[in-house]
Amino acid sequence: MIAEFGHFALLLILVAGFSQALLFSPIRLTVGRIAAALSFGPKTAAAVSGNAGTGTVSGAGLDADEHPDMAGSPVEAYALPSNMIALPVVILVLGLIAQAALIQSFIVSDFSLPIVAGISHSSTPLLFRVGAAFITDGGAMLLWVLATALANTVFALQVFRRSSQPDTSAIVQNQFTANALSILGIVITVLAVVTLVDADPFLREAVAPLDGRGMNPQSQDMLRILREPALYLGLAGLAVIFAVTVSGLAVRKIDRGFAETLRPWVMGAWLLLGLAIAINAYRSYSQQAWGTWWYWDTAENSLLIPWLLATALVHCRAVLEKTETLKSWTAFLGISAFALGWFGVYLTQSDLLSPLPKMLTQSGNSTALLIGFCVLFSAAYFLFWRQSDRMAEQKAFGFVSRESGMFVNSVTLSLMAAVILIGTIYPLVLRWVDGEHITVGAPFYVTTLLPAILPLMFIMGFAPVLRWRQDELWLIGRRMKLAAILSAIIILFVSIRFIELSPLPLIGLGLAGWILTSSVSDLWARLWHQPDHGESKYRNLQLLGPRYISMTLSHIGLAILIAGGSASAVWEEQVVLSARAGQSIQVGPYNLQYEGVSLLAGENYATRQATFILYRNSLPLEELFPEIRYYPIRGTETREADIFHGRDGDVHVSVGDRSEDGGRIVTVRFLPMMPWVWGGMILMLIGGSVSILTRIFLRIRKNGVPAS
Amino acid sequence: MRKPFLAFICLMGLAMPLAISSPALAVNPDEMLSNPVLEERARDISQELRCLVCQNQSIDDSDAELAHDLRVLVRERLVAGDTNEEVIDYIVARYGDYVLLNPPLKPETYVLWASPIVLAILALLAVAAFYRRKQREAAAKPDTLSSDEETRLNEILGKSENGGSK
Repeated sequence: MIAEFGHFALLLILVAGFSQALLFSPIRLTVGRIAAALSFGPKTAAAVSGNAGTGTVSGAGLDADEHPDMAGSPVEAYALPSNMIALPVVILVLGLIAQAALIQSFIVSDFSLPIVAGISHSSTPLLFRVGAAFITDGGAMLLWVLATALANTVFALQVFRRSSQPDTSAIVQNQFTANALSILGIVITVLAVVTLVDADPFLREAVAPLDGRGMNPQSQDMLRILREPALYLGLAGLAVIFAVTVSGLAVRKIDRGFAETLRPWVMGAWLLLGLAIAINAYRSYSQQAWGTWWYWDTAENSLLIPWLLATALVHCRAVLEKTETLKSWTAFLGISAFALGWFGVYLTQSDLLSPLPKMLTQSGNSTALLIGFCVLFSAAYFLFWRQSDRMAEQKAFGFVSRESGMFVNSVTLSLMAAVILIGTIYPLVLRWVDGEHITVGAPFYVTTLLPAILPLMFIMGFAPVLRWRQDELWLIGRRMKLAAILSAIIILFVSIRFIELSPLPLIGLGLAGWILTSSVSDLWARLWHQPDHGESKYRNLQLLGPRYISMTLSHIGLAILIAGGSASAVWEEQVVLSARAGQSIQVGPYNLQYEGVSLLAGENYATRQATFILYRNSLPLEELFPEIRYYPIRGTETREADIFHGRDGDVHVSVGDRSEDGGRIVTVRFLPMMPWVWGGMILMLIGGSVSILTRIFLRIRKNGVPAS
Repeated sequence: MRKPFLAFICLMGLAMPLAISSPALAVNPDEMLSNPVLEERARDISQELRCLVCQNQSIDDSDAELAHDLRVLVRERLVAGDTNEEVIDYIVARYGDYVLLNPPLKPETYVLWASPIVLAILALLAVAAFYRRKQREAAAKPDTLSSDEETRLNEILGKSENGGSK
């Protein structure tokens, strides 16, 4: 019964999404005009003809050929009654009902639903039964629908609030925002259809199995489950960006207002996709004996590609907002980020690139997802092709300017995304073309991406101190003097201290130092060398603004991440041995004492838990408990490494089976500066949040003050 | 003197995985060769080879059984006196190019390897064209307002003269 409730809610989402698409679209006005001509409903007719008088109404609203003077035109009356806000809210409530119904089915272990029987089991702990609702194809699609509905509601609130002046009854005054809501309605409709056709989570079978097949032990991991909401909320943010961009293209309003509307969405999507990537990396790192945090596998690449494009968009959007240039490039990125996010979901859900044969992957059908992708984005790109070169850009910028720095940076980031995309789908294409199987792995990506990353990092160092419009090279040189000297000292120090170091990690460390020193010295200059405002230095800090702080934190975070990544790869120490209880293992500056293995019972698994005591300078620091878990339902084992995050590096311990000589196979890795990688990622995420949180904080404070 | 010893190690390497039935940890001490030079070479080769049942993991990283078998095979060939290239060729001959993490340069992969270069050149050309157009537009337009800007300005001024809506 609960599942049917959810199923019905999902169907209603489809209907409501479609209604939203229609009600906010220009078609509504045509219908209204016909109704007016038939004098059918006098009140609506009056309202509609009133709009028609202002000249915004166009039968084919998406075809802006009819009103070429639309570019840059200010707010246009496009009156919609205020109760229209109810529609996005209804969709959100329906989405919550559907999601709750699915979660409830998992909680009560309703095995008549194949989705529950396929992945859950009566012995699965409650937390993971709830989480299981997100990680199947159908559940993930439903989560995506819910996330998009949430973004849709927030966007509607943003739009309705902005235009709700007390003196007008018209709420959505702008055809631009109405179109965006209409396109979001289309996206929600398509996603709901895809969910129902491809992987309907609410299907029932007549005969329920006695118990489920159990969760894949690899997925019984909180990080794995938390990745899903981050990913799909990020994609929902990209959906809003897509809708706003397409709408902006349709009415040729790619201008400052457009960029301002996009601002929280670009930042939010960038942040959430980054969070999903960070979670994914840490999960790879902490599982089993791997200790590697990036494999360039399909799931990782399909997160990285939209994130790179979102990063490019963050920069282009800022340029657009400031100078109203790079219009069509920003629009192209806005469409492409969502397109590739969607395509990534298709690649991971279809399991086309899985090394296992089709029948082993238990992947469902993803055809509707692909068809939806083709229809939606071919329409969007067609519109882009028609409209892009008609957007006039009045302002120019010189080759050496802030705009240039951000433009070149975004082109490089998109280039990297394109290379990763080609590397990801090439094996697939080749398999279709001539049946040849090849692998594109880490060496390919490293060789091809490195030539792009190095100049990117170099530009990243000085781009923030560039002036807008036009700058001079020698002036930049003067501003970057300190940073250049400091990073040269870093490179010199590292190369002398570690004579045997190969050039590549040296360049990586040097460039990280370059970004770090230039960010810090610029911050320093802004804080202390500003012309005196007659106030405290605290005032200077305030003057920096959340955007500058956010940018600086993110850049420093990336520098730290790159430094940590290069260092840990170069100076990694690894010990693999067959250990006996009481044996001591030396790795890096640490000493690990193996205490033995005890057999313990987890909630739905049995575990062999090894105990290690970590010493440094013969002082005990911490106990580490790597495990081998055995999940009887699926009959498979997982390895859980334990990690100590120290000052100078991570100690990564994992255990294996008994070896022939009666000892326990132990793998210990010391990864110097590995905490820098995680710290860098966190700093980037904090940088992104600063921008969003200050905005929310300021809005709350503004609203808190009485309007009079 | 060295050959029989290595053969013994190699036999040991083969026998051990048979004795251990459950999945083995990436690079077991049992698999490792006692000759550190050979072992180092084995590790290098292992990082180039893909575990056939995993998502883009090298056999050095994977604890799947198949990866284990391949690691043993690599060491076996090394002990038999193969060079690194010969070992890789031997494994490719059995498992195909699929096993190579770094796709080899051959007619089927020309497009793959050329694409980054072609894309980079296209991007450079596009950026150059963009700047040339910018420059031409800037040269064509002196520092006066464009007609669009002028109408916009008039619009704004006109509005404020009428008292403004806001």
